[in-house]
Amino acid sequence: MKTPALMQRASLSAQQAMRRPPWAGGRSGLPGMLLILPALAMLAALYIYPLLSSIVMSFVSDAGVGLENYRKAFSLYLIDMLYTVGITILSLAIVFVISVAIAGYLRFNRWPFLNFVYRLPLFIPFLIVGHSMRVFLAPHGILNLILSRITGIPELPGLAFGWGGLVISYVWKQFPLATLLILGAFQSVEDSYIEAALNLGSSRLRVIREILLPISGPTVLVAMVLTFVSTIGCLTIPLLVGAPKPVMLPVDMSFRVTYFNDWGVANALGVISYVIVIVLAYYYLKHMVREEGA
Amino acid sequence: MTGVKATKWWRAMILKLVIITILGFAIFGPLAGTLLWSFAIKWYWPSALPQEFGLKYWANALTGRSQVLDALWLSISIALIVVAVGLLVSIPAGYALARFDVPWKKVLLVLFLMPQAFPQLPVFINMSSIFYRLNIAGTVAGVTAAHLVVSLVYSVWITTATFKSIPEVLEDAAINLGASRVGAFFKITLPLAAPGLIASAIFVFLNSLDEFTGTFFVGAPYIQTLPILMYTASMGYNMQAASVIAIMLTIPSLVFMAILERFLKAEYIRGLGV
Amino acid sequence: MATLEIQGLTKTYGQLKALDNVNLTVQEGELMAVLGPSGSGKSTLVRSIAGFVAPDAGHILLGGRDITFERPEKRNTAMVFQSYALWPHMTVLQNITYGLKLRRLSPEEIARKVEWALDLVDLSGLEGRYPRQLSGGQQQRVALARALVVDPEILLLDEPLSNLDAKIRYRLRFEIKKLQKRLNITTIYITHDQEEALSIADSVVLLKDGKVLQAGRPEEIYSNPKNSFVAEFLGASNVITDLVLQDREGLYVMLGGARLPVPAYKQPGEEVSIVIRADEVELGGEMPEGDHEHVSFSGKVNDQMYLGSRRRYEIETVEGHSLLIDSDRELPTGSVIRLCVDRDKIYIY
Ligand SMILES: Nc1ncnc2c1ncn2[C@@H]1O[C@H](COP(=O)(O)OP(=O)(O)OP(=O)(O)O)[C@@H](O)[C@H]1O
Ligand SMILES: [Mg+2]
Repeated sequence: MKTPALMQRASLSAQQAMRRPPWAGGRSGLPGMLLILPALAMLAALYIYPLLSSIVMSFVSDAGVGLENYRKAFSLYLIDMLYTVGITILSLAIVFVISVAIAGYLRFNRWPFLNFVYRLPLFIPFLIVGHSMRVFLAPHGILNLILSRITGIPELPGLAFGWGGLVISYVWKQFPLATLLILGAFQSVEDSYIEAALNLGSSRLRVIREILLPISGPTVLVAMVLTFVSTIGCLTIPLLVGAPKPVMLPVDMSFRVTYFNDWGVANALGVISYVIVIVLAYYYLKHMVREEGA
Repeated sequence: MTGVKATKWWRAMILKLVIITILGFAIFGPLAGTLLWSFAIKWYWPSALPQEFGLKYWANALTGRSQVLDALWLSISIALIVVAVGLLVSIPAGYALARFDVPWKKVLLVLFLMPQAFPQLPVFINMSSIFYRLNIAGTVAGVTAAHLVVSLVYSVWITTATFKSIPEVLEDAAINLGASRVGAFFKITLPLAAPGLIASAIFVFLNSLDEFTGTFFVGAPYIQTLPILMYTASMGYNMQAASVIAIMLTIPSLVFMAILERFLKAEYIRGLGV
Repeated sequence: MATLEIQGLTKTYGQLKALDNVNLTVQEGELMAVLGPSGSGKSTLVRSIAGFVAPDAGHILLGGRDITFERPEKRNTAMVFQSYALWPHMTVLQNITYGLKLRRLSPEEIARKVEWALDLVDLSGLEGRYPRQLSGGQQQRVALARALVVDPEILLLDEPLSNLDAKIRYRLRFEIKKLQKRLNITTIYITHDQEEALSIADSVVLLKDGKVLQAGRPEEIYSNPKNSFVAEFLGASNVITDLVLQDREGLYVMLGGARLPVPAYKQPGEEVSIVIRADEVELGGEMPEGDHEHVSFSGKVNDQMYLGSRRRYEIETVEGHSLLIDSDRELPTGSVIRLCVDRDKIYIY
C-alpha cells in the first residue's frame, strides 16, 4: 500500500529536480557524480576489476592465450556442470512450488503463525544452514533418529552428503525470500481481480495459477532469478553437505585454487557459471514474456 | 446443519495441526539439533537426546583467552568498520541517486546490484590473487575490503530508497527559511532518513558478521573470523564447538530480526525494486 | 434467472452494523436499485449475495436455494465491479471466455456464446485488445459481457457507472436497462445517484446505516417518501426545520406567511421538517381565489445562479428560512415575490 505512494512521490520529486533551473539550486549531473564517485570507485576496484580479471584470466594458461582452460574444464568437470544445473533447477522448482503455495495461502487467509514461521530461515546464514543440515540430515543425524523411532527401522540412509541433502538445504534457506517477494506481489493484486474470478466459478487454486501468478509475473521472475543465482553461486552448503563426487561447481572452483593452485581453470569455471546464469535468466525472461503474450 | 459445520471445523483443525507439526519440525528441526549439540557433552547414536548435558563447550568458548572470543571480537570489529565505511560512501551516493539528475542512473543502480545478482565466488578468487600481489591478502584490511563489496548492494540500494521516500519539499522549505543546502541535509533530511539508514547498517553488519566465502579466500589462514572458525570445527566433526559458534552467530540475526521486522515488510523490499 | 429472497440479513464489523436485519425480495426479471449514502451497506449487501462477505445472521435464497454459506464459486451469481476488475494480462476475448472455460463447454459452444456476448454489448472487433487499450465505457461493457456470458441466475452491479463521465453514464444506464429487460435477468443495481436509480429501476430500496428505510416502486417512493431523510435523498433540495405552533384550529407551522397544518401526532414546540423540492415550486403569479389544492407564500430573492436551461434562486422567507427554487423565469435580485406549490408536494415530518 505504501509503495505506490512513495514511488509517485519519488518520481514527482525527480520531475521537480529536472525542471528546476541551475540558479534555483537545480541538481545537475556533476555534483551528483562527485557524490557517487567514492562508492563507484570502490565498486570498480573491488568488484568490477576482479570480475573482468576473472574473465580475462580464464583465457590465459601455461600454453598461452586461448581456450585451453575451457577445454580442461569441460573434460574434467562436465558431469559436475550438469549436476550443478540439475540440482539448481530442481531446487528452484521446489522453491517455486513452496513459495507460491505459502504466498497463495496467505493471500486468501490470515494465519499469523505461518506468516511468522516461514521467515525464520531468512535470518540464518548459509554457513549455519550448512552446519545445521549436516547435523540434522546425517546418517546418524536427528532426522533419522526420529524417523527410525517412528518406522522401527534401525538404520536409515542419511540424506546429508548427497543430492537430497543439498536440495533440502538450498530449499530450506531460499524459499523464505522467494515467498516474501511473491507474497508482496500477490498482496498488491487488487481484491476485485480475485473476486471477479471466484465469482465466475474459479477455484482458489486456479485463481493463483491464472490470475495472481501472471499479474505478479515480474516479481516472480525477480524472486526466481535471485534464488537461482544464490543457489548456483553458494560455496558453503555444498562444502558442508555435498557428496564427495559429483560436486557443485563452486566447490570445484574452490578446490582448483586451494589444492591445485590452478587459477586458469577456476576462472574458466567461473565464466561458465556466469554464462549459465545469463542463459537461464534470458530463457526464463523470454518464456515469461511469451506467457504474458504482450 | 450445525453437525456438518462442526465436522468441517474439526477436519480443518486437524489439518491445521498436522501442518503446524510438519512445518514446525521442518523449520525448527535443524536449528533445534544445533542447539542441542551445543549443550551436549556426550551424544551417541541411537539415543534420542544427549546422554550428558553440560555447558562445557560454551565455557570453553566464552571464558579465558579462547580462540572463539578472539574471533568474535575480530568479527565484530571488521563488521563495524564495514558499516562505517559503507555508510560513509553510500549516504552521498544514495542521496545523489535519489535527488540528482545523474546521467546513466539506471545503469549505476544495476551496477551496484550486480554483486548480489551474479555469482560472487570467481570475484573473491580473483580478489585474493590481486590482494596477494598488493600484499594485503591475509590482513584485516583485505578482509574488510572483501566484505565491503557485498554490502555495497544493501547500503546503496536501501539509502537510495530511503532518500527517495523523503519529500524534497521539506528540504526546500528549510532552504527557503535561510538554511544552506548542506545545512538542510544535516538538519532535515538526515534525521528523517535515520530509520532507513539504521536498517541499512543492520543489513551490512549482519552480512559482514556472517560472511564466509570472501574471508576464506582473502583472509585464510591468518584471519580467523567466527564463521571461519565454525567451518573448521564443523568440517573436523567437532560438532559441539561448531554448534556453539553457530548459535552465537544466529543470535544477533534473530535479535535484529525483531528490529528489522519494521523495515522488512514485503512492500518495502518491493519498493527497493530488488 | 431466479427470484432472490433476503431474510433478516445482518452483518456487523466490530461495533458497526453494516447490515441490520435486511429483508428484500427481488422478483424474477426485476431490476432493483439499491440506493443509499456512502457507508450505508450497499456493497456489503451485494458482496454477501456474491459470497464475499459471510453474514452473521439471516438467509439468502436464490431461486429457492439457500446459498447463505455457499462458496462464491458455487453460486452462479455474476458481479460487475465498480473498477470493472478486468484482468490486465488477458485480452477482451480471454476475459470473456474465462468463465465459459471454467464451465468446461465445448469450443464451438464457447465461440457461439462469446459471439453472442460481444454482439450484445456491441464490442465486436475489439476481442484482441487488452483492457488498458479500451476506453472506460468499453471496459464497462466488457465487464458486463464477461458477467452475462455465463448465464448467471442474478446480475449484481456495484456502482457500475460511477467511474465514467456524466454523458456516457447517461447513455450506458439505458443500455444496461434495455439489456436487462431483453435477457429478463434478475438484477441488483447499486448506485448513490438517485436519478439513476429512479430512471431505470423496477423497484428502489433505500439503505441507511445498514437498515432498509423504504422500498417500493420508483414513483411510489418518490411521491411518498416516508421521512425527511428519504425525501432529501430522493432529490429534495430544501429541508427546513421549525417549531410546531398551536392555535384553536390545531397544530401548524408558518412558511412565508402561509399556514401549514402539521400532523396531529406532533407536539406543540416540537421540531418538524418541511421538505420542498426545488423544481416543484412555481415562482411569481397569484393563485386563484378559493384554491385549496395549492399553498401560496411570499419571499425575497436573495441571490441567483444561471444554470443553462434555467435559473436557481435563493429565496428568503419572512421567518428567515432560505429556500432554493429552480425556475425558467427571470427575476431581479432583491424583488419580493409570491410562490405557489401543490399542497401534496409539501412534506412535513
Ligand atoms: N471489511 C470490513 N471491515 C470493517 N468494516 C467494514 C468492512 N467492509 C465494510 N465495512 C464498513 O461497513 C459499512 C458499510 O460499508 P459498504 O462498503 O457496504 O458501504 P457502501 O454503502 O457500499 O458505501 P460506498 O457508497 O462508499 O461504496 C461502512 O461503514 C464500512 O466502513
Ligand atoms: Mg460500495
